[in-house]
Amino acid sequence: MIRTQITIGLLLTVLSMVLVTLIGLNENARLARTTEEQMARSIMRGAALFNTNCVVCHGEQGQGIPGRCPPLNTPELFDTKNGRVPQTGWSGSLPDYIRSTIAQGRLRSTRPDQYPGNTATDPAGVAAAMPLWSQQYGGPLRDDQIQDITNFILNWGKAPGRMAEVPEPPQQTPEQRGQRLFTSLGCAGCHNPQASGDGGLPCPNLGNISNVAATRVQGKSAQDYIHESIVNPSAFIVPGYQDNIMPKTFKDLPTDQIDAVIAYLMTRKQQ
Amino acid sequence: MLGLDIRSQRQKVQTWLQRMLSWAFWQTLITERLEHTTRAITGGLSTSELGALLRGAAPTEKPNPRYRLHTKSFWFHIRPRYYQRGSTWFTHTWRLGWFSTFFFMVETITGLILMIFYTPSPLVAYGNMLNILSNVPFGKFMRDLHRLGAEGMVIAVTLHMLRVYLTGSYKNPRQFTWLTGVVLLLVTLFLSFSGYLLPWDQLAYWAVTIGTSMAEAAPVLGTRVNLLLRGSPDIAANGLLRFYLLHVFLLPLLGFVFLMVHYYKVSREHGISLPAAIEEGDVPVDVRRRGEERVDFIPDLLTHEILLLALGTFIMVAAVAFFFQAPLESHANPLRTPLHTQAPWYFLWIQGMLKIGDKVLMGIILPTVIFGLLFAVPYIDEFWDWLWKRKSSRLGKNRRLGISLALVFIVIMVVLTLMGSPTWGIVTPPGQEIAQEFSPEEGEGPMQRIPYEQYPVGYFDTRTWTYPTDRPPTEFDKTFAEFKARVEQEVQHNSAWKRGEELAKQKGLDAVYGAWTITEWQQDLKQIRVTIDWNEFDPATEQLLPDEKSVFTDKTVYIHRKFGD
Repeated sequence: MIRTQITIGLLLTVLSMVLVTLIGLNENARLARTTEEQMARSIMRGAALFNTNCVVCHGEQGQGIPGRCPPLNTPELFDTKNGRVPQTGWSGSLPDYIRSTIAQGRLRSTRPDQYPGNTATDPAGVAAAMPLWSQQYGGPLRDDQIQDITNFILNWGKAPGRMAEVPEPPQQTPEQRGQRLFTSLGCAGCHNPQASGDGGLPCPNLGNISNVAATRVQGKSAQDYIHESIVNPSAFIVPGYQDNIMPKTFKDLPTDQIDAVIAYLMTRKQQ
Repeated sequence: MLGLDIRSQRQKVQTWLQRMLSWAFWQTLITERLEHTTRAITGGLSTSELGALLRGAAPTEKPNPRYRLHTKSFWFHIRPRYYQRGSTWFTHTWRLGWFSTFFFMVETITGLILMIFYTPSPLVAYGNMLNILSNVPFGKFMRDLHRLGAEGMVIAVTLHMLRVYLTGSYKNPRQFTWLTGVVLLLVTLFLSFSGYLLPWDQLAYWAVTIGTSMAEAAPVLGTRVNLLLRGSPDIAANGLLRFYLLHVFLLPLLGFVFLMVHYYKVSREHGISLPAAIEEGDVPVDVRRRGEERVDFIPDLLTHEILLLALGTFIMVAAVAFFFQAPLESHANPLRTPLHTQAPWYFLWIQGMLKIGDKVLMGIILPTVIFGLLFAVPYIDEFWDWLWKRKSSRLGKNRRLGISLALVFIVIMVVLTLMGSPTWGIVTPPGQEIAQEFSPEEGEGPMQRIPYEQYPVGYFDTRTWTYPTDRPPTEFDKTFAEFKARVEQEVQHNSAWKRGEELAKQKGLDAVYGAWTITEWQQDLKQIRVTIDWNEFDPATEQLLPDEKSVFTDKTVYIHRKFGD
């Protein structure tokens, strides 16, 4: 009995040692793989965070909003020789540049004429161009989340400027398409499409636009008024709001997209 | 020269040299040295005795030299010299007490190693976890062992208590041993629970939030106890530090002290109980005689325990090597309660009770009563025997009421545990529930298990999509087919969805549908937008709600090529 127990015990000990050795032999590869996986997961988390926090201003795919916020998905950002990093005189690396910009925000835009950020849309003209995000300075995000967003933005660097084509439902109505475009083109960044005030946004509420547009300018149908407001925003400025906030670049959009947005906006009415 | 007689010296040197060259001299010397060292190490066993011992032969000297170890060595004086055979039968003890101690040791060793890589601060704790997993050789191994050992300890301690109850071993004179055992059960549960918080992930944060908020329900002291535990109204830096100190200092210390008392009672005072049938003579005489005969600790039981040690270690190492993984969810986020928050499995019964009753009654009073009763079991038992004026008996046939009560208690606990799990009694909007099933907030669901390459870019709609027949189905096809079936099943079984679909059809509108919009968002990163729309209507007027007023599920999932699984 004792001998059997000793034999089995020895056998099990040897087996345990073999297993531990096998784990040990595989350990370096596993560590490398885990590091890679953690980076991948960080990018996934960063994508979700970007989707909830940043798209309003920087666009769904980081294409930026002309006249308001700079593009992030652009070769200029990733060009470390002549791009944004040397242009701003930043002495650190590109990841540091992105991370610190997210964490601390920007009090003043570095390109106020092109991308004034929130400063332009603030009636008093004093708001920070970009809000700060780190909890260290009173923002909403933890530092590891800021690192996630940084990793996500850096991932554009593999093919900067490439825009993903978002597949569209085949049988959607123009209104449904317009609703998606309203968000993806960045309109929702400034205009509230729900009928509940402007929510502190610097741009007119569009919750009742289909009724409002019909009576805004004498002799113009609602569709024509909305169309004009999109392609030539300065043609009519609603009293109490400022000129030159809305970008003038929407006139370059394909006609079918503009029509879809108009179709969507025509559904915005209060009973 | 100086009185030194060279001639006699020469004589001496010669004799000395002769001795040096003789084999017998060396043999005696070595044997003596060896014998001496062996006796010093083994606490008095000679080499021949040691040999006999290893061969499993009977002792060669009288009185039994193997008992000398127990009086002379530090380690072995803790152990009894011999046990009664019956008390060591496997089917009597199941070695559960031994395994409880084994897990306690495993936890101590792996815990000390993990401590080196851990800082109890919300700012870095989760980063430490990632570091242990991705940067510390054998870090994951240690963490998995630690977690597995914790689960094992809870199971072993609970089963140990159950065994002691069923064999009636808690009865006179072992009442106090039982009492220390219940303390050890509590220490084990709280050790496990306090360790839960340390990784500072969502799982940890919310499980502990639920746990400590139960303390808050206690009358009079609740708020204060809660504040004392958490160090602030919510769990934050102070709370983490407190749980850490509880986990690595106070509770292990308590556990150690009570373990010593418990062990002293078991091994030095009353011994392990004999099986009731042997003790009370309910067996043939020869069986009883065999059950009561002595078994030496050395070598019989020591060998057996070393075998158990090898076995326990092997099972743990193999489990960790092949299938067990300690979970790690995303970073704790006080602002976001995960959809299905749940307590650790061994506290699910409390969560189950909380679902059927008041927080104070179910969360505080009843658990206190349950543990109070557990403490009092031996004394209630004595009182019962006294009341009916009968002799105390450990035999199962004389304890029908006690054993039935235990079985009923176990059934109740199992039912409560099932009720505690999030699938019972929690109503989630079905669309959200479906999205959660396919891509849970934490961990992996079917959508995460589809390999990156097999995700086709495009728009996929349950109304129009059909299972491919012209090519072998991919993981995506299989999962989307499941998704389609799930959405259709919901329409069948959910009356609101069914009615909504009928109303929509009357108006010639879309049926209930789910859709995935898959985009190659970045290089190596795909975005999957899950939309589920079910034609919500106003129940009073049976009018379909306009799009912007109706609730529909819209969940965005990201999949990276290399995120692993």
